[in-house]
Order: sequence, then C-alpha cells, then structure tokens
Amino acid sequence: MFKDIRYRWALIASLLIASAYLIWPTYKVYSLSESEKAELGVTVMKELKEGAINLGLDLQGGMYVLLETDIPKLVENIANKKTDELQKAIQEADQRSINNQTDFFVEFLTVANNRDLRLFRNYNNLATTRDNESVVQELKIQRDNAIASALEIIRNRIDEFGVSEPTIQKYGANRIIVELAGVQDSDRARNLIQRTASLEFTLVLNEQWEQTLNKLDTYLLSDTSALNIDFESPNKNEEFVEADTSGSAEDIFIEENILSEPTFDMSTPAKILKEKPFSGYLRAVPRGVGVLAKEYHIVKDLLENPEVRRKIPRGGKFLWANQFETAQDETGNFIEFRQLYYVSSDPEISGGMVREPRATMGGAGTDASGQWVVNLSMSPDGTKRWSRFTGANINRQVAIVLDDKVFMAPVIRDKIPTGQTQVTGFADVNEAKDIANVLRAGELPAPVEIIEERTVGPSLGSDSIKSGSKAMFFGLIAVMIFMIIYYKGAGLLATLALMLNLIMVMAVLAGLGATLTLPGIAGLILTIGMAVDANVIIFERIREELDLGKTVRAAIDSGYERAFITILDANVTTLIAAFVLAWVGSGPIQGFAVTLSTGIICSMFTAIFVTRTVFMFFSDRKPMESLSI
Amino acid sequence: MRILSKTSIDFISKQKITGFLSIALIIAGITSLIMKGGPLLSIDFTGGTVAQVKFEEPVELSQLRNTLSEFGFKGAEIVEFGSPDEVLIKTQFSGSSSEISEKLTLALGNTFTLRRVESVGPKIGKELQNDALKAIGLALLLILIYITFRFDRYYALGSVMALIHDVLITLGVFSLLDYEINLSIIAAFLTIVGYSLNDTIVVFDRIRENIPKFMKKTLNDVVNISLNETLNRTVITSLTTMMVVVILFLWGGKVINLFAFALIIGVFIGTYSSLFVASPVMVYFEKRSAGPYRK
Repeated sequence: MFKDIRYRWALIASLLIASAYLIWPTYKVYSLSESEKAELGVTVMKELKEGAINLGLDLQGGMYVLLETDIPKLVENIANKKTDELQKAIQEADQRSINNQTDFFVEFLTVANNRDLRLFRNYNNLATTRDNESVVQELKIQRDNAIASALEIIRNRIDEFGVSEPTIQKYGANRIIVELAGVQDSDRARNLIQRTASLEFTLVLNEQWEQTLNKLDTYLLSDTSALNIDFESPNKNEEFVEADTSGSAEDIFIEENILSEPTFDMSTPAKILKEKPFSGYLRAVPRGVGVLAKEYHIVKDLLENPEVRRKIPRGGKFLWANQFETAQDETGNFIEFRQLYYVSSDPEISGGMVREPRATMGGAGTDASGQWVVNLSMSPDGTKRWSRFTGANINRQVAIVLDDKVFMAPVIRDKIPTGQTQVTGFADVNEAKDIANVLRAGELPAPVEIIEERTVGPSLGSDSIKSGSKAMFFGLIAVMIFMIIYYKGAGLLATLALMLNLIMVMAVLAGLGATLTLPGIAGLILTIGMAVDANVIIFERIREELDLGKTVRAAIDSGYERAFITILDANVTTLIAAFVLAWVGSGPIQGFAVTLSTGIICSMFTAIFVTRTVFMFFSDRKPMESLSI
Repeated sequence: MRILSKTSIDFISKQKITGFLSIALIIAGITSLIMKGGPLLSIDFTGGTVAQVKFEEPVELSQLRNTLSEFGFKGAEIVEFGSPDEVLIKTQFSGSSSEISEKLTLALGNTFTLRRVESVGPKIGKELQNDALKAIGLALLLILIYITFRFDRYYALGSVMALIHDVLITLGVFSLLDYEINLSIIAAFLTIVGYSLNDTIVVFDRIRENIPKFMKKTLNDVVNISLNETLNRTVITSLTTMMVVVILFLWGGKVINLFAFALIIGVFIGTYSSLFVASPVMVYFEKRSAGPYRK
C-alpha cells in the first residue's frame, strides 16, 4: 500500500497530527504564565501536566534521596529472643551479602544452616513452621511489610513540604526513592524521613463540636487580628494542623451554605463568615465535617494561630484527615474537601501497643464475611486499656492517627476484652492494606537510612536549561547549514526530516510521560548529529548510482533500497547499546538512553520514509532529468 | 559538492603504521591507568560528597583550601569549575547538603551559593560500579551476538576489537588528563560504542555486498574498495556528529562538559577505528580461518 503516494502522505499527516496532539500539553504547561495557570484551575492543570514532558530534578532544582532499610537491624529487632549466636549470624550474613553483592536473606539462611542455628527458637513469635527456610521466608514478608509501612509514613508526611508532585516509590526490595522538586533543605527531608512515627488511637469528641466552635467564633468576632494576620500571610511551612470535625455535626452548621451555593467549589460567602468567622468554613460531608480544598489553608492557618489554639478547650484538639476527598453535596455538585476531626488530646492507645495488624478477608459466617477487614491484637498492657476504653465508649468513634493525621475513625461496636480487634468498612483490598501499613508504623520501626542524596539548586537548573537549549539550537542550525550546502535540494529535504524527527521525538517522550534530564537533552543533541546519518547514507548511495550512469528515478530507487539494510543494521547496534543503558542504568542515564533510542527510531521513519515520499512526489509529476544532490 | 572525489586509499596496507599507533595509544593509557591505580572514579562510584559552590567574586583556590581545611574539610579536593568564581569541593565523607552548607557558612560567611550537592554512600557506590561494568559487558555481548547473527563471527570479532580499542583509548585519555569517570561518562562510553559500531557496520555492510561482485579480487582489495566507497559517508557523518558534540562541549554547560569531551574523543577514535581497526582485524581472522575468501 505504500507504493501509493497518497497513503504515504496520509500516514505522514496522521503522525504529525498525533504528534501535535501529544505535544500540546507540554506546550501549554511551559508557555502559560502563572496567572493563566491559576485561571485554568488545579484539575485542568493536573491533567495537562500528566500529558506533558516533566523536567528532571537536575533541570528544575530539587532533591533526590535514596533510602534503604537496614535489613540486618530489622531482622535483629524482630527476634523475640536475641542471642549472641543470632547476632553473630546476622553480622556474618550482612558481611557476606555486601562482599558477594547478594541478597541478605539468602546469605542469612546459608549462615544459619552452616552454624546449625535453629532460627525458630529466636523467632517463635512468627507464625511459621519450624524449619529455617520458612522462618526466613516469613522474615522476608516482615521486611516487605516494614517497607510498605515506611512508604506509608513518608507519603503521609510529605505534604509538609508543600511539594506539588513528590515522587515516593519503592525501588528494589528494600529501598525507597524520594524526589522533591524545589526542595533544598535536606535537614528537613532527613527529619521527615527518619523521625519516629507516632501512631495513636484517640477518642473522637463529636459531642463537643458545638461548644468548641462557639468558643472559637466568639473569640474571632471579638478579636479580628487573628483573622487578618492569617489571611495575609499564610504560613505554609508549618506542618500539622489541628482542625475540627464531627460525625453528628450536620445540624450544627452550614446547611444553608451548601444550599446557597449552586456552583462547584464556591467559597463560603462573606455574609456567613461575618457571623461565624470560623465555623462558617466548615460544612457537612459524608462522614463528618470537612473544609473545602480551596479554604483549607485559611482554616489551617487559623487553627495554627497561637491565640486561637489557646481558645480550644483543654482535652480536645483538631486533627485533619490524611488526605483530600471528593464527594457530591446535597445539590449534586462535586466538592473537594478535607475532613476535620475534633478528638481527645489524650490518646488512649499508642503505637507500641498495637500488634500484628493484618489485612485479610472477613471470616465466613461473621458480619464481615466477604469483605476486607484488618485484624490486630494488643500487647498485654494495651489489651487492658483497650478493654476498658472500648467498654466505656461503645457506639462512639475512635480515630486512628498517624503523625497527627486521621486515617479513619471507626465506630466502637462492642467492648473488646482480648485485644483481638477487627476493623471493617473498607471499600477494597488496597484500603485495608493501607490501614494495616499505617498500624504497622507503631509496631515495627524499620530503621531507614539515606544512602544517596543529590540536591540541585534552582539557579543551576535554569542555567542547565539555558545552556542545553542553546547547544541544541546551535547544533541544529550547524547541521542544517552543512546539509544544505553539501547536498543542496536533497540536503534541504534532510533538514526537513530532521525537524520532523525532533517533533516526533518530543511527542513520543510526552506520550511516554518521560522526564527530561540534562543527559536527556544531550541525547537529543546527539540525535541531531546522528539522525542525518541515514540521509547521508542514502544520498551518498544515490550519488554513486548516478555516477554509474543510472537514471534519476532508478538511482533514487536503488539508493533507498540498498541503503535501507545498512541503516537498519547500523541503527540496531546503537539501539542495543541504548537499551542496555536504559535497562541497567539509573536516573539521568536512563533519561539519556530513552531520548537517544527514541531519536534513532524516529529518524528511521523521517529520514527514510518521509524523504522518499518527497522524492516520489517530485519524480511522479514529471520525469526528473537531474537531481539536486 | 563533494569533500572527497573517488579515492583509492589502501587502508589495509597501512595496518602496520596504524596498528603501531593504536597499540602505542592503548599502552600509554594502560600505563597511566596502572600508575594511577586504576581510573579516577568519581563519588558516584567511590562514595563521598561533592558540592558545587558559586562565589560572588573569583576566589583564590589555595586560600580557599586553607580556610576550608581549618573548618573540617581536611583532605577535601577543591577545583575550579568552569569559571573562576565557581568551585567543586569533593570530600570522602558523605553528608547532607545542609551539613555542607552549614560548614561552608561557618568557614566562608555568606559569600556563596550552594548550587549542587551530591552525596553517595560507599555501598551504593560499589553497586553503581557493578552496574556500570555490567552495562558495558552486556552491551558488548549483545552486539557481538547480533553481528555474528547478521554477518559472521569474524566480522563480530573485528567490530568488538574496534570497540574495545575505542573504549580503552578513551579511558586512557581520561586517565592521562586526570579526568574523573562518573555515571554520565559511562553513558558516554556506551554511546561511543554505539556510534563506532554504527560506522563499522556501514563498512561491513558494503564489504558483504561487494564480495560476490568482485569474486576475482582478493579480500584485501574488496575491503579497500568498500572502505573507499563508503569513505564519503564516514567522513560526513563524523563531521555532522562532531559538529554537535563540539557545540555541546562549548555551550552545553559545565555539568555535561566532560560528557561532551568523552564524546569528542569517542567520535574521533570511533571513526578512526572503523577505518583502520575493525576491517583489518576482520581480514586477519577471516584469512586465518579456512574461510572461502582466504587468499
């Protein structure tokens, strides 16, 4: 079908359109001014950003941290009977795994077997059979849980930084990559990552909403200084937030707010705030009380104001939910909000008392049959307190709080005398697993250390962008001029193909959601030099064929035909090198490999297919007698 | 326009001179590597911390060195980076950027901006080193397999010898000039491998095409004809690629300066090796075997 020139043009045109479509978000994101971005709104910008090429930390400035859990330490911590032999075995296994670059657990099993250790004696707290293999297997599961829990803790804390798109991902079996664009303060990052997690169960004080809110409103009406200060200079650095929320609060406030607001995400009217400067911001949401995402910072700042804090009754405190949610309000509009809780400031249970949280399916025949639940037990001390607490607070809510953020607030159904607790009400397995990981934060402090840290200042990043684009521009111009001088008309065609190639590479990168790094720009620049190679091979071949006395048409045909195999072979080998880099290499190297290989693949299309189509176009119209080459 | 009109250079007969040149270069590089105890590895591979610091005014390095060694940067390596007001400070300990920043403020006051801090733990350094070696080894192996499959093993031997030649010489040049090998230099090495191979394959492809055409000629002659026929392309592609890497070197910014430098060396050596190393080695092995073109 590609003999027919119309199909060829159609293919080229559709690829161009597809490229333009893919590049559009990137163009938008980087050409809009801040105010235009604000106008488009968070949701639209988020969508645009997802489709755009991201800038790597080396270009926009920021921090890259690689964390590792100290596995030997973790394995030692898990043991409920720590003997000298065990410690020696762990040390030896650690040493061997470093020397041989092998997995710690493989070495640990070997060492334990060599030393005739019976690991079960040290780990009879683990639910396994007695042989060493299964103990090690279970330890691996514990390792995975510890990492998952560490991830959850870091995710939960990361918004303290106010970074718009933090990357937190697991890397390998026991590492975590954290990338914070725009952050330079590594002490804060260290603190964020290495601070001990605090997990608490605390009573939700729904019945005290009214009283507390009245107090705050009255205070703010009498002394408006708090309001003014906080509106003007929202303190973005402060982290946590006391806020108020309640389950039975609908009747207390705001019914009228929602009714009077037909449009999505409308701010609270000034009229209401005049009467209720604090509680006016709160509104009923599906499981309690929430604050609109738009007004979150206002309320957060209010609650952090020392004067306001002093007015909160003793024994209570405001806590935010761990994340924003979206729901429909009564009028059917979607609102984005963050739930606020008002809880007891004296937590009943602390993390150390929670044991073995596990997400599982509810047992057959129970109420939770067929649903995902989280089971947990308590330490002896915790069991006693939990029993008393649950007995006294049946049908009230208890908040599960990690680092001062409420993850959920289940209702106590019954007195729990044994510590064996089941938490229900999860939508799916992931929700249940997340909560199990949160609960683990108290149980297993996985020692985490920073093993690699790279920080790039914003000035260096913008310098790099400037010099990178300058080099790219000059490179492009130089190659184009050279090609046009050397190959004349055909050279012009090659430069056209080159530009098309760059457009397609950008489109592919945007489509892949790739991140552009400085080495990535270098890869692009190198692509410019190498992409014309295919055309050079073809043109030289055509010249040779012309020298042999062939007609223009015949020379073009055999030139392309013969050159194709050469180009293919030559490019495949470069691609092999690039793929290996993308596979084995890390971070910036990968960026380089991705742009280079994309460039090579696209150049095969533009330099061969597109240029040939143009040649066909001209030679079809009238037989060419000479060729500008 | 043509840079070279029909040439008939006898590349193969030059192999004594070029072989000597190549071997001399490799030996010089290896000697330097041995004397310096291996390649100069960056903190990516050894672990440690490097900080890029920009001052408001040009600084005297020796003075800076003295000041810093009083403030706990003993043994730190301090070099100018691109311009006289910017320096790189390298230390063996791995610390956070805040730590470095604090210490520097203590020593120098507020006369500088911390532009970049990289800190790599010793364990991860060793791993990155392994990964890099693995990447190079794996790439060479896969390329060997591909060429064996597409051509034959003598071609594969020729091209891989040329690649090893290229990487050894580039490595040697880096060692002689006391330039550091970091992660991006490894990427440059692999690009050199890809580029040099690209060149070699184009020549090999022509040899393969020409062998049945010139059945009466010796292998030496066929190889020479092929090298000459493709010479124009070799030169022009090297030129365009050289243009962009030189531009990258000049204007691409300090951070990728060394990377661009490695590419310049690589493009040069890669072009040379596809003319004077790959084909002669292929001819040598082809003749030693009982292959059909043994003449």
